[in-house]
Amino acid sequence: MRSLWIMTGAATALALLSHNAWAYTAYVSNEKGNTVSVIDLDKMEVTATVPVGERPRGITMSKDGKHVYICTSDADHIEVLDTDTLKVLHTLPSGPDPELFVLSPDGKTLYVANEDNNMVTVLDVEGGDVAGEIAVGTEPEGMGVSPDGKWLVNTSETTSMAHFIDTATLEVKDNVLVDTRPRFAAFTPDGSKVWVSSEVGGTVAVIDAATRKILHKIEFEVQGIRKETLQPVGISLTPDAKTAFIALGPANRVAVVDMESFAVKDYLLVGQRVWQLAMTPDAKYVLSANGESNDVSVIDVASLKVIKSIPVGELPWGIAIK
Amino acid sequence: MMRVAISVFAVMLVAAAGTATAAKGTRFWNLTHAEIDSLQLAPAGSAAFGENLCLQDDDKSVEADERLQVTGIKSGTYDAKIHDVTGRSCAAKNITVEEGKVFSISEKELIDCKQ
Repeated sequence: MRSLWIMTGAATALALLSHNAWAYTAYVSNEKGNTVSVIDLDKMEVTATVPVGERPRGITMSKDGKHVYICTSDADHIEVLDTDTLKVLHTLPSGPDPELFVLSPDGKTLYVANEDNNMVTVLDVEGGDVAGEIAVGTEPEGMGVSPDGKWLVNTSETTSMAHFIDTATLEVKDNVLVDTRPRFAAFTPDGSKVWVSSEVGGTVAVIDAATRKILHKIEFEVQGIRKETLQPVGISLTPDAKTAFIALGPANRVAVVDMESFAVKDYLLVGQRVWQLAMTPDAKYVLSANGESNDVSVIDVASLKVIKSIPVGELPWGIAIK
Repeated sequence: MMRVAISVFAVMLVAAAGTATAAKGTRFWNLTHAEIDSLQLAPAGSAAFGENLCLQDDDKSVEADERLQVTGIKSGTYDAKIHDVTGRSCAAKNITVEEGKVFSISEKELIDCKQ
């Protein structure tokens, strides 16, 4: 009898541990609703909706998970949301129309792409000071930082370039021409390559981070869908560098790409106008923000199946996961 | 005292955000899937369509997801006629415009489309 109790206790403890491991929280910026939806990823449902400044787009977690940073584009600043109280604590400066940003690996610096002044703002998160500004191409958007924090890549929508910036000197060292309207940049986990999506061009360029040469351009094709509708936007890469997920905008699909061969393995049907993606820290799920259907799709990475659709606010844009 | 300070900060935040957006003027937000090269508005229920608002843009068209600051449009409810670069013409009904704010037309609001 005693051993039965011990076994039951151990099973319960294991279940609790396992439960905690899965208890992630997603924060979704709703561009038109001016809110952030908070999703309990254990229950797979929205547990709170937080009003924020106008046109929230880029969204990311602080290193310690205590804060969510939000680009509130029409308010022309960054808002800092407390993850415990779900209140906006204060704002941080940016240039006009901040759209997307990336946090340095040490969590101390935010690099902010300001769509309206063709600048990247370098922001000291703790002090709240602008540490510098970097002139880039027209309508800067995509932002990626290398795992060692030494290189920053910004894409400019109208110039159709990926700008390689040395974070020590804050100087643009190289410009790589990519296809029309580049939206997103992501370094591979080992920092050797940068993936850049081009929305209007319909491709993803894989750039060698050292030589700045384009190694490969990934194209997409879905039977029954017009080519011009296949518009790559958000990118999410698995930490084992095996699989890439690419959001295809109004095609309502997420492409699954083998990161070694660059072959498209599958197209997963998600909600409408799929924009940014985010992966849970354990790499079990990829979430997609679907702007037109006002929901978030949950993709199971192991089975490559869409397992859930979660209704959120109006025009979901970006996702951060704690 | 802390609560008062937080409330004051919240009021200042809302006021500052309001000032920032008003300064940006009335803006059309293209939430259709295509680049629009003609947008005309008429008071809802009328056929009194105004000028092509896309001509107010530098390159005379508004890309998908792009915003265009427009002048000469009063607050009210409008019907819209649009034409996009794929050759498609569509209508949209009862679009609410508020001066100094953003109004949008999304793909699912389009009706009577002809290619």
